[in-house]
Amino acid sequence: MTIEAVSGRAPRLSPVSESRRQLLFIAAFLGIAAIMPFFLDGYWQRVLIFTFVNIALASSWNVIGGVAGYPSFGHGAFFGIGAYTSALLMIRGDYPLVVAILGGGLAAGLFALCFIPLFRQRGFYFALSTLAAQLAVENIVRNWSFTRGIEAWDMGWNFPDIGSLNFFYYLMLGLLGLCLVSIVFLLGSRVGYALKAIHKDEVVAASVGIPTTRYKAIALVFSAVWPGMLGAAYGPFLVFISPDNVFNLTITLNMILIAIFGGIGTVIGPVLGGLVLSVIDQIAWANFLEYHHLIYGLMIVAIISFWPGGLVSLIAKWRAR
Amino acid sequence: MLDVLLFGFLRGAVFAMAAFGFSLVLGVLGIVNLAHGVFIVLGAVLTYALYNEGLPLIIAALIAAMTTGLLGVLIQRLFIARVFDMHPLMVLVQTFGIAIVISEIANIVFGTSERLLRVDVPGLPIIELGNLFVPTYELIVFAIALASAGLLAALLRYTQFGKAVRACRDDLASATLVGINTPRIFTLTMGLCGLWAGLAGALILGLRPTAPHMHFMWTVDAFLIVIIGGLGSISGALIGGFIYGVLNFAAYYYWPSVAPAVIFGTLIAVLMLRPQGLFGLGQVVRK
Repeated sequence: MTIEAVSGRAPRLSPVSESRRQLLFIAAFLGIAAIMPFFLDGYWQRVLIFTFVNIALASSWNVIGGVAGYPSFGHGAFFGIGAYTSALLMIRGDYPLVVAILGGGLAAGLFALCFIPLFRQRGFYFALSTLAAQLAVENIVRNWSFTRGIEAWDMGWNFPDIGSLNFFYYLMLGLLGLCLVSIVFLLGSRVGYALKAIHKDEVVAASVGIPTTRYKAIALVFSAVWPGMLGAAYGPFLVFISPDNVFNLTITLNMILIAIFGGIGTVIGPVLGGLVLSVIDQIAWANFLEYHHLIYGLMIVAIISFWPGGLVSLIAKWRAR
Repeated sequence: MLDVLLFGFLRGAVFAMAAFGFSLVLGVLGIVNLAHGVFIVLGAVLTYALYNEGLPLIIAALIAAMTTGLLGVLIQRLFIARVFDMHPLMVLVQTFGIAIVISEIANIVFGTSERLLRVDVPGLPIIELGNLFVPTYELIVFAIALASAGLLAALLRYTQFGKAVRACRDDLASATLVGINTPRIFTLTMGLCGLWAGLAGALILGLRPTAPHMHFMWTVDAFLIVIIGGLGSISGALIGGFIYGVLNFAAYYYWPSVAPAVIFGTLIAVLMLRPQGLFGLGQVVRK
């Protein structure tokens, strides 16, 4: 009943060579992405920025949801908290972007610590507890005068214009690169092995002396800090943020969907899934605006029903042939 | 204070009716069906459309409920059966996708507007209780919801099908061993869930405005009711419905701006402190 059983891949610990292969893949991906602005116009550059954010979000979700097997349905909260911390720091406090990004990560990480008691739950109950937590946070942020906006009647935050499109392109690409590399190192470390053991059988893992709660907490905070920092950088890029665009439930769903579509529990999966899904999404937006939600839903149902192992399992099957 | 209690209690019965199917599916199939709210809103929207076509309200409600029941059967056979024994994540995302698809189709076919039906009841329109005014329709809905709870409980208790359902709920492996056709029971359970939820939706149409996009709120409500009341029994869901009804009215009456946060906070608290529910019978599904 584990994800490995779903994808049909034999579970194995990642040896050093696998880490190296993943790093090579990431380096190649970043290299190609870095020269793309020379060939693309502003529209496609924007599309790629959204794609990078999506990939980084899905990769961070994958650490707790895919590798550790605790499907969080509240990860959008960390992204939103990052974006709102950035708004508070940059607009209320007049701090530079670097401080806002670090502050966003810190705030999301601290908030993730409040989620730790939820680890008493598993499966459906964990998923729905985290979902309820996200909805509760969104409700408070939406109505609290401190977070609503500068003026009493504001429903969101307007950022000052602080950088060109190229600046944000390389900022997001840099954050994505750091995020992916840190995930490779985390999964190759003791924490990564512990998380895989917890996913396979938590009782056995605990009985051989793995402090499961501590490692789950590390995974959760890790996978919350990155969305926090991304959200903090995303706010100024988007210029206007409100609960509708940074606390939206589709942000959480996108993370999960991209991870599943690419291959849950793998490093490369979310990258592939993010690229392919963003292209499909873009085509749907551009051509069938009215039916966009419908296409999105159909895609979810089709992927899960017929393709639960994701792209990575298809590639593995094809290579084994 | 008294009106919050009274109206919460009255509405609680129909909230519970909306959640019976959710409780059954969670108990028997062991899954959380995020498309549950779709049955409710679709039941309401279909009833409204059929009523506007000129059908009598009762016939319209029954046809709508049967349609959602059929929809439940189809969803189970075509989609959930493929993934329900995988990681819970798969079912959650899949059923949420189904919910998006159906509510979007309902938006396109029936329109996105909110619908509310004024139901004229023969006899007194409003009943006075001391200084409280209660619409008669509220009482009728309350009675129907209670009767439906009794019917469902009897169905589970006395019929062959009900015995098979309870066997699947109590121990799936043993139920399969003694020759119960579990896939068939799963399908019928989903059909029953759709039927009851659709009927609840038809009743809710006369109580509060309903539109296809509200499906997720109803799913969360149903989950809350089942968690508060405890899994595994119709009476548990009914008590959960009463408690939730009062909580819901109190939250929106006393703290209107943060009412959702209060309700979700309660959900988290109950899940952490008493995951088997306040009146839970058996152990918890912890898949």
